[in-house]
Formats: sequence, structure tokens, C-alpha cells
Amino acid sequence: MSPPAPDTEILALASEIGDARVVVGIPSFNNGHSIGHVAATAAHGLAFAFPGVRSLVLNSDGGSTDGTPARFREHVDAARGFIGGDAGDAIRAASIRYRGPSGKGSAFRDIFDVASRVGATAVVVLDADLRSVTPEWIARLASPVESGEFDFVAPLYRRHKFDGTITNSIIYPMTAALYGGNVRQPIGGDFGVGAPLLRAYLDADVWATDVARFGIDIWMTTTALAGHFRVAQAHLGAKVHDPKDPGSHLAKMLVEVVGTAFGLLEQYESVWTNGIPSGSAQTLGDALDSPHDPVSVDVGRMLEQFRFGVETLTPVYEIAIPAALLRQIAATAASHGSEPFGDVLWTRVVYAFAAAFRRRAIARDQLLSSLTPLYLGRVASFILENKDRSDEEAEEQVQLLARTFRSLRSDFVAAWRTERSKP
Amino acid sequence: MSRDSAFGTWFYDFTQRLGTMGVDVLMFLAVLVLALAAGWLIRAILSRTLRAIGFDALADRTGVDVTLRRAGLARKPSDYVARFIALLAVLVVALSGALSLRIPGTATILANALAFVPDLLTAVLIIVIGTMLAEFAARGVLITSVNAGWRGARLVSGVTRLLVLALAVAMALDQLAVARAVVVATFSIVLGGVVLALALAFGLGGRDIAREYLKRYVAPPPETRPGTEIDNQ
Repeated sequence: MSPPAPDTEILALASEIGDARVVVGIPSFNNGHSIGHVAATAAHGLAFAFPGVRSLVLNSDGGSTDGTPARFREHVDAARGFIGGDAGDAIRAASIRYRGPSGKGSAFRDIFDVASRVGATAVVVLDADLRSVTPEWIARLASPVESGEFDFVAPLYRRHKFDGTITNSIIYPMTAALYGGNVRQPIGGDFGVGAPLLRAYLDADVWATDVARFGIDIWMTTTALAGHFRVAQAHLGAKVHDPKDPGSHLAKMLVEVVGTAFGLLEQYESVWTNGIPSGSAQTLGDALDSPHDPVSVDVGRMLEQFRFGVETLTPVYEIAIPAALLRQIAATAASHGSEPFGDVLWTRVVYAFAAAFRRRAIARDQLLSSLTPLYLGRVASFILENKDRSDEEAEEQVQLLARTFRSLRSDFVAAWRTERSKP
Repeated sequence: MSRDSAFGTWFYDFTQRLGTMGVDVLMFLAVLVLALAAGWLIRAILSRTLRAIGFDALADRTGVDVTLRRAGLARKPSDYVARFIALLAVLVVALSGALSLRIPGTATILANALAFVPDLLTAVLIIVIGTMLAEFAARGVLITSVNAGWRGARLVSGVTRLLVLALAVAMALDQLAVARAVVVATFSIVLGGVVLALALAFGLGGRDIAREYLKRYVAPPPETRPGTEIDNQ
């Protein structure tokens, strides 16, 4: 399906803006309490990194009822007034109501559309609820693409060792093992995109799919890696948001994120099954030593859900994953934390679920939901093993997991190909 | 007419009839043998074709395979489908062959049997689809319940499977016009009883769970919040 025809609002806005070399896009929905800070910081960042350069801060809103667009305009205007002079005048601001299915992806699509029409050479997208964003983020995300050196800049946050568990356990190691690049935060949410990749995004046939609703972050990163665009990652310091206990309300999140990542394996099969990826994305800037929020977790509850889940869902797992693997999982679950859910076992579990997803062993949403207890078991095991380690030491363990994903990659490629050849 | 000549006539007629009947029986037996051979051939071809097009994989995915195994039926679903269709073919051909015996009522039986085939196929289809839906719904309920940490996940899942299967069986029996009034009444009583029992169990025994559930799912924040939807990635 081709992208929908531009609506009059976007055409009128693009015409009114004329041209803008750098665009900062902020998707939102009822973020009135936080968008002001993000918008004002974006304006200051543009003035700091690109003084006097025509630029645009664009809010793409999903129909907020809490006055988000008004708060956005109010804070950008105040920031422009504070900056003053030509630097302030060069920064424009606009808010649009995005089209398409409700979701961050649809908001991004309209940001990209406007950016393309005003001739932007760099687009930065920022989450509307950021509390830790600084003007320096704009320079770090936009400058490498604006200069033409890179096409895509991913964020590299400083995070609590127990934050970002889906990224650390599944998305980062799997993406790095299959597509290369070693992008540490593939679903970070804040990115810098250059004009060539912007065009590729807009031309992609995904804007009526789940990508438009919830899978935009992993899709953007994977598309950049699979398309062999020049990818970098920039230190941004801490990303302060509202951390959640990894044990609560996560089945839906797991289905969405992992489902999109597995779906992309099908889309980019010809890329990752042929040849072993090499090289790492260049890391830009110095690490910022900003403090991050603590994360509280309930390991006991996670282990109990793991044990109960494995015991109860065995008939489902019997359909989806090999019997030998299931026996190892059952033994680990029964140990109630005394036997670690090791890297090799976890990697085999993720790859087995990806293969089961490929062959549609059961309904895909059910398959992904059934991963939740195993994921909790793995996260609980990671927490127990790293509770006395520093963030840096825990990071080394994440890197070990990524190496395990790489070492078992060829087995997975073979399994994936076998699934494809079955009737 | 003399007794000898009367007997002679009767004997002549008898042998004639016997000869005709013998021919009919032989023809019937020949048709039966052919029907059995055709049935065997149909079964073999259909079974292989279904396997080749991935019917068993489909049955595995949709839960039919699991349900069959749970019922103690160990063969592949494609084999059961092939056997069923082959059996129908043999029956139809055998009844057609019976016509050759000119037994009074055979034509009526054949007509009724043929008229019954569409209903029978529909009923089988209802059972197959019902089985798939029952397995799908039960599995979904099981996974959701486990993720919610409900200790009674297996029970809820089992009841779900039973209800959907019971509905399918009631519909199939209704399609076959088997004791319609009894089936409808029984199903209504059972369903009503189960729903009442669940309502009582959920209302009285699970007030806290119900409160938690309602808080979580009935009045949640807007589902899609760009920029904030995935906070723990």
C-alpha cells in the first residue's frame, strides 16, 4: 500500500514554512505536562547547534484533550523569545494532527513527510515525555546526519542496570547478532535521521501496519541496518522516564515489540540469512555522567510467575519449542532461582520462538504472549546474578549475552531455513 | 392344470427368480468390491494430498491435532478426513449397488441416505470448526490467565474449551435433527448453570480479582500514547 496522499494541512504547513534544514519532531498524545520542557529544549538545542540556520520544531499530535499542542507552542515561543535575534527568528514551530492509525509511527510519518517537503537534511525525533533531554541532545543526534557523515544516529543512554530489560534481553542482542552494527539501544525512541534514509522511510509500505501503531522504533533501526545505511550511536546520558517493574503489565508490550522484531526477520530474511554481519556502529561523543532513576523489582514474584507459567503452559510450549529445550526450561523453573537461566538457554529460547513465529506454530499473538513467563524467568535470573554488580559490570554481562546470540546465529539461520522448507 | 405341471411351473419360476437374484447378488458383490477398492484408493490419494498441502500442519496450528490426541485418536488429522470421505463414498456406492437387488424400500433408503449426506457433512464441519475454536479460545484464555497470575488458569481454560465444544456439539446434533428439543434444553440448562456458577464464583470468591481487573481493563488510560507507550524497553 502506498502512503496516503498528503492532506491539505501538511501541504499548507510545508508551503508556509518554505524550507528548513533541520527539523525536530515531537510525537505526542496527552503529554501536556511534559511536552513544554521537550519543546523548549529542542529550540535551545537548535539555536546552540545550528545558530541562524532555518529550522523547525514540529509537534505531531494524536488528538490530545489536555491542551498539548497549546503547551507546545507556548513553550517554543517562550524559548524563541529567550534566544532572541536572528537565531530565535530562524526557528519555526508548528503543531499538526497526524493522520492514520493512532500511534507513534503515524506521528513520525507526518513529521517525516513535512521534513521531506521543507527540504530538511536532518530530522531529530524526541519522545514527548522526556525529563532528561538537554540542548546537547539535538547537536549529538542531528549534527552527524546534517553533515552527511551518517544516515542514522541511534541514542546511547546511560540506564540503570535493571532498566530496559526487553532491550537488554532480546532486542539488542538479537539485532546485533543478525543485522550487525551493535546498536545498543535499537528501540530507544530518540533518533537522528538524514535525508536519504528519510526518503526510504517515506517510501516504505508500512504506514498502515503495526509499525504505524507501536513498532516504529525497531523498524527504523532495523531498516537502517538492513539497508546498509551509515549508522552511528550518540551518548545522550540518562533517559529519565517512568520506569516500571519488569514483572508488571508487560505481556502486551512484549507482544508488540518482539512481534515487530520477529516480523522484520521475515521482511529482511534475505539480508540476515546471507553472510555474517561485521562491524559496529561508530559511537559519537563522550559518555555523559548524568544520574538515572532507580528501578525497583520484585524478583520473588517474577520467579513464581516463571515457575507457574512453565508448569501451566507446557502444552503450549510443547507445540512451539523443541522437547529438549523445554526440559531444560522446566528444570530451571522448578529450581526457583537456584539454577540460573543462562545465556545459552535464553538465546536458544528466543531463537526457538522466532522459528515458531516463522512457521506459525500457533496464533502469533498467543505464541508471543506465552513468552512472558520465560522472559520473567530470564530477567529474574539476570537480576539475581547482577544484584551486587555495578552498572558497568552488569553491562559486561549484557555484552556476553550478545556474544552468545552471535555464536548461535548459524544454528538459528539453519532452523529458520528448515521452517521455511516445511509444507 | 395337473399337480406335476403346476409344480413344474412353480419350479421353473423359482429357478428363474433364483437365477436372476443370483446375478443381482453377484453384481452387488462386484459393486461392493469395486466400492471398497475405490474407497481405499480415495483414502490413499486424499491422505497424501492433504499431507502434501500442509493440512496436518494447519490442524496442528489450529489445535485440532491436540484435541484429537486428547481424545485418544493418535492418527494424523489428514488420515481421519481421508477415511471419512472414503467411507462416505463406499456407503453411497454400496447403497447404489443394493438397488440392483430390487429389495423393496432400497430406493427410498438410498434417497434418504443421499439426502442425509449434506447434513452429515455440515455437522462434521461444525464439529471441526468448533474444535478449532475451542482450542484457540482455551489456549488464549490459558495464556492470558497465566500472565495475569491467576491460579485457576487451567480451570478457566478448561471451562472455556468445554463450553465452546458443547456449543459445537449442540449445533451439530441440531443440524442432524437428533432429539432437537432435548439437545436445546440440555444445552441451555448446562450453559445457564455454568454461567451462573462462574458468576457466583467470580463475584463471591474473586471480588479482589474482579476489582483489580476492572481497574486495569475497564478504565485504563488511552491505549496509544505516542512517546510514552513503551516505557520499559
